[in-house]
Amino acid sequence: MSAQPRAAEAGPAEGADAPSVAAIADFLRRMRNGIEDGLDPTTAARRATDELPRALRDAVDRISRRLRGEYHEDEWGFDEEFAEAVYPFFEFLYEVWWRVEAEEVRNVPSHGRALLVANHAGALFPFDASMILGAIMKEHPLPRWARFMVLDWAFVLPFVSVFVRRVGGVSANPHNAIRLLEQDELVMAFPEGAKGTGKPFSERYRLQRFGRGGFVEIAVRTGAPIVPVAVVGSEEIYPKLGDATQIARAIGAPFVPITPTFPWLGALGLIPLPSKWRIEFCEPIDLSGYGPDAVGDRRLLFEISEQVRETIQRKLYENLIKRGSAFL
Amino acid sequence: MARRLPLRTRFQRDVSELEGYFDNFSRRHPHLTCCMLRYQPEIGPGLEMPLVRYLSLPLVPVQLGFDPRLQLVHADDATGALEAATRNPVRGPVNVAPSGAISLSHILRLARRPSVPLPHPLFGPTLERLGRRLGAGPLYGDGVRLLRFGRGVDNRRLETEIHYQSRFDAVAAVRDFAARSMGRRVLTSFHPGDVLDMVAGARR
Repeated sequence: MSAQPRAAEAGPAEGADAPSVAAIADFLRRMRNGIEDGLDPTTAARRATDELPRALRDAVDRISRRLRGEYHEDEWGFDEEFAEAVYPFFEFLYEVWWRVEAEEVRNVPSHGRALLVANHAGALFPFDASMILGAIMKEHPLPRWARFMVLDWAFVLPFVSVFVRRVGGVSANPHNAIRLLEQDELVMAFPEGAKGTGKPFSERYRLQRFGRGGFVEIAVRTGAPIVPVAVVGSEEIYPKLGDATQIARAIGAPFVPITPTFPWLGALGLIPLPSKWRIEFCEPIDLSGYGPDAVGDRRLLFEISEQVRETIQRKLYENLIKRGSAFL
Repeated sequence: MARRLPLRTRFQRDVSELEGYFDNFSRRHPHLTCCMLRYQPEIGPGLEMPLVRYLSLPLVPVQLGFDPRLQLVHADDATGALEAATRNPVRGPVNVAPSGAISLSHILRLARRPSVPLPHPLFGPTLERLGRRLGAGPLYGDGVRLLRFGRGVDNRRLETEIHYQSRFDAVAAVRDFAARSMGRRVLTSFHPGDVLDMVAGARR
């Protein structure tokens, strides 16, 4: 008796997949018939495809286009097709795993340049950039891909380097940021850098020093508004308890975190904990009034940098209270 | 902009020394217009260059987990930029590179070359051994690093100050190279894209 309702539940999910499976089986059967009739394999294959459903033919066509190299990458190595292909995985993390709640996404300009500045956390793999990206893609009325600044060290790692670059990561340096903003892109920067991701769990949500305020200089120079972003939840995904300094020095990493699961569980330790996230986009700070002379004014740049930092810190505390329990 | 990373290899140190000499010389002789063209690797069917020979291998080894972003200068643009620079010289370094960039995997797909991913510590020695047998020769100085990390440079000075408009962007240069170079191929007729095309019934 108890098995029956479960079978009924599984029904629709299987049903969605069934046509394509049936179509493939059909295709193989027709192809075998063709070969048995004395046709050569290519002709048989071509005839058998004539009756494939449209969606499947489109999928095959897409893959074949990909393999022939008929796709576009921009000069930063961003590959929109690739980003779209991996998007569902991040959608899963966004909706199911971390249950992200995004607020005031409308503060992100829907066109033109803008610099998103956020707190940085997540010792092993900082997912905050991908979740901010997810919030813009899912909740913004005019979704757009954002580029994010990534620590150089990520580009030394096999697979990670390729992946990060194809979804919009750019090696973090002022030259790249300025050029991206001049191309009217949406750029994400994490001024805390490795100091933010590498801080111990006990110091979570305490913002580190914001570099030397270089991000403000970039924004002033390009006339891009700064949108402060507060991300709550990213600190709990990999609670960093210790630091393997010796290993970090040996492989040239900024730090090698020790978490309750990593490295003890090996690859399983890479699975982030399912904390609950909130992302708040604050009011954009318009810097276009300062003009190019302000670039040399260290004091002004520092003041704006501190203002952004305080905004993010305040919003972090507010959202921590709104979120309540970290995992439930 | 100040250098951010330490110079690691011999080639990098040599180049930096050269640029240092160039800087000093042009500062001491302000009456001379010193223009330095920094070329990205050149590409063209007839060129005897390590990277071109590498791309013409019948089976191209690549580094597992890396897909460098490259800008390859078409041979016509390489000479064109030189000519434009002599006619319209500017002071200081100018990057000669096509607009846009292309990743190695994309190049190999366009050139229809099968690739063999190797763990990166094995890449250099293998290429050397394979190269000797197939006539590709080892890559120059930093070629192995270039084929791991890639490089993208800002070519705006070439366009706005020397006023040279590249005829080929990064993708077009590779397409032209692929169309005009025959090279040696082990699997002439086979390409996974073709098989899928047949399945999809697409006719090109």
